[in-house]
Amino acid sequence: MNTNNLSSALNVSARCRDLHVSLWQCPHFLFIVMGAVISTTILLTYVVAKFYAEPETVVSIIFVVTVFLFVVGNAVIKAFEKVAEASQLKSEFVAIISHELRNPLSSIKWQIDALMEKKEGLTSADFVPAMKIVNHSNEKMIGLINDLLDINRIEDSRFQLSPAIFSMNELTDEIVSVYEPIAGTSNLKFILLAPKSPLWVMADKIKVKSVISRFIDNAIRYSTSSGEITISLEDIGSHIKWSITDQGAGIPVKEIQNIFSKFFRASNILKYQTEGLGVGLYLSKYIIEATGGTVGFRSLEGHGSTFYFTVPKSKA
Amino acid sequence: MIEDDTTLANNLSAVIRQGGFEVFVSNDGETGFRQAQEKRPDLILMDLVLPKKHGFKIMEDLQKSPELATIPVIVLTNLETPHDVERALSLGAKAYLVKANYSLNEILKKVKEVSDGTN
Repeated sequence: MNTNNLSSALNVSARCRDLHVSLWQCPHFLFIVMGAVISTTILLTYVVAKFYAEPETVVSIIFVVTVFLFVVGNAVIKAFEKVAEASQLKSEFVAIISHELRNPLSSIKWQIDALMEKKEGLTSADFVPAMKIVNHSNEKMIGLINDLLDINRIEDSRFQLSPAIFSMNELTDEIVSVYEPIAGTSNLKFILLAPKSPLWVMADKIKVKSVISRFIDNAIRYSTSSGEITISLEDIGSHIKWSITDQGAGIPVKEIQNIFSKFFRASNILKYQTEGLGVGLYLSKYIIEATGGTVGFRSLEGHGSTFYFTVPKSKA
Repeated sequence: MIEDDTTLANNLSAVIRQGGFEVFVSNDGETGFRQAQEKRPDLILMDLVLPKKHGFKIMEDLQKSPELATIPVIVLTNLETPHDVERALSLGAKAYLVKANYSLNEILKKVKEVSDGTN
């Protein structure tokens, strides 16, 4: 081991930061604590035994220290479990990401395949739909990578917002018009309830747009075919409240507490969902809270859900 | 064919039809299993990640029925953890193909191979 390796091995706090656990959950640090306790105890016991020579005192010290070591030992085991669990989550996550990236990639590959098969006599009637699919797949991958980068920025505390003043009605209209044709293919209709006058807010427009898009996307995805999706905007004093109600599947009661956690779908995504990373709501909550708003939902399994968020009004 | 991505299903079914096969496509696991019961196909080509019924569940249910258990299954998916591959093969899959690694014609070739092998 050269000096570099040695010093990095000894730099416990850095090692623990790398593992993304606090000092008291970090095996490296806990081992040092155990070592310190054991050596101090040996010295102390020696001193007590030599100068005070009361067996009861020595026995009590050893007893107290043993109990303490037992507690720390348990903490070490818990810490190892946590690190092992993180590594397990990581490999599941890699499996999901590769699946999610490969889907659009194979779409593109097969589109090109199909075009190459024809080769001669290719017309724009062949090209246009193929290019649309290639483009859509490409957008999907870009979105996926952007989500991953955002998560990474959040974990490294590098996530930044650029707030500006904009109208929530206008932004909502703009996004709804993009999703209308998609909803239409599942016979879903949007109902937009908003005051005519612009509702000015102070927030990062691109990020709020991503939140609204995710909420609408979820509402469509969890809706049974045909029905209504109601979006409403309200002035609630210091904030503007944006909410969306679907008549879809609703959220199973036992999953409610996990809904905003990262990779919430990681455990069941491959079984019940066909698309997505399970990070949408996690990112949305983070963005809205960093903006100074709140996120929440009401849901009744089998009857649909309402998701809402608030963003601060502009002071101007 | 049980494949929820309709564009993939269209592209692939066209190629397999050109190869001289009759193809029925289902876009979700439940319909796919029902079609398998009704049509008794010579071969099932299916994804694993499917709405309504996961591919592994379909394979388990096929295994439970003596008439359906003999239908050869080719798994065509983008999942590739050793665990998934192992499970698919243990449930009797004749081949495990990763979508991103195969061209349409290579898949057709595999379909021919497996159906020739069982006839």
